[in-house]
Amino acid sequence: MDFIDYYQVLGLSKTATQDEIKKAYRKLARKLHPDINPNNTDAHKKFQQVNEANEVLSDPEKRKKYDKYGKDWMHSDQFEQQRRQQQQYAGASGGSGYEGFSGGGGEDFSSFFESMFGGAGGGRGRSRSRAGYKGQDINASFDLSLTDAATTHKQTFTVNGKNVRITIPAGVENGQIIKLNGYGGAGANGGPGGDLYITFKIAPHPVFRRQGNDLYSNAETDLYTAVLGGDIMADTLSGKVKLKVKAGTQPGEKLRLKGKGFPVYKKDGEFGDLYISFSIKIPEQLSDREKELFEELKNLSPDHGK
Amino acid sequence: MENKNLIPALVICREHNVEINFVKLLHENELLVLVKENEEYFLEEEQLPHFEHLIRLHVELEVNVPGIEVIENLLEQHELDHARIVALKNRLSFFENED
Repeated sequence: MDFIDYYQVLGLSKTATQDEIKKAYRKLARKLHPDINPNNTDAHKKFQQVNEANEVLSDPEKRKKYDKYGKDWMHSDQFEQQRRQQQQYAGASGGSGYEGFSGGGGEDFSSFFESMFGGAGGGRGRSRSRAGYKGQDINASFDLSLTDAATTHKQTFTVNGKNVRITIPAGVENGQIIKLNGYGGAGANGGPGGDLYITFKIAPHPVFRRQGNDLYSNAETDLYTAVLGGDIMADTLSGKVKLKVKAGTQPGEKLRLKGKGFPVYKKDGEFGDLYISFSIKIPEQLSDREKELFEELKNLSPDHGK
Repeated sequence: MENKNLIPALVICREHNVEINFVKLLHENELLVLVKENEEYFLEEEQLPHFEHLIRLHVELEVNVPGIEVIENLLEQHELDHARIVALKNRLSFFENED
């Protein structure tokens, strides 16, 4: 657990006035607020720090404790004891700072904050506390293989200790985000749960490359089949198929297998196409007889001598 | 009419400490869909997260309705650009993985 310099988070000096704190906080909140930074986890994290810094520095009592024990937060219990003794004589005093932002999510405080001030919010009153707020949105990523992404299947995730079972439809894209309503953080004051955003990461496949719903692969054929034509076996997502190679097939020439590509997302029975590019293996070590025959072919070729 | 859970706009205004006029303004500017029945406004339950998002922009960031409209348009554009970036990254990775 590391010490957090709340003054640095807000870009202020230790002598900053309440007005300066408020101004710095509002400026940063307008930049980093999660409602205007969707899909930006970096901004979300920074906003939580800014919120936490404001929570401490805008409350005179917390600020006093932080200024005195910030770096030595391990000893802050002594401060608490002293404070309680003082309160016995002077009576309890409430915080007079302004309220913070909810940021569209449950307030998430660092372990440094919780160690110094206790749980979220530190017991400070908020004027909007009656309102039920939606829980924090959670972003998660899920790795799957290309073949997994090609079939509709059920998957169980554990999020916040809860098991979430979802159906991943065939055809999901790399980088695609699905939203599960209510599976994020718990809401505050009876508010609804936040949402869970899952980003799918599909690993490259050793045989197939995907572009949209189409798949691309390579098939190697020997020189003789490319020249004379014949059959070869090629991979598709659903298994091997026999391909007819026409006589005179050129290197890089493509063959389209209609409907043998990737399943179309949420469209049952619809598939993209598979494009197979031919590579031609040129024989490297020829016997004397083979060389002789190739020489003969060369001499027969109409291009010979041009 | 489809039977959806409706929440009286006045109730959610009270819960969130906002004026009913603000909610009506959101509705007039097509930022929020309200249902009007017997001169009273209601919000469909499924609109609640969106409504709370608009409330946060207004209350926490002190943005007025025209400002919210600008933000919503920019966020929409941002979503489209984000989807476009994902598609372009996938295309790029397709060519990068080409032998």
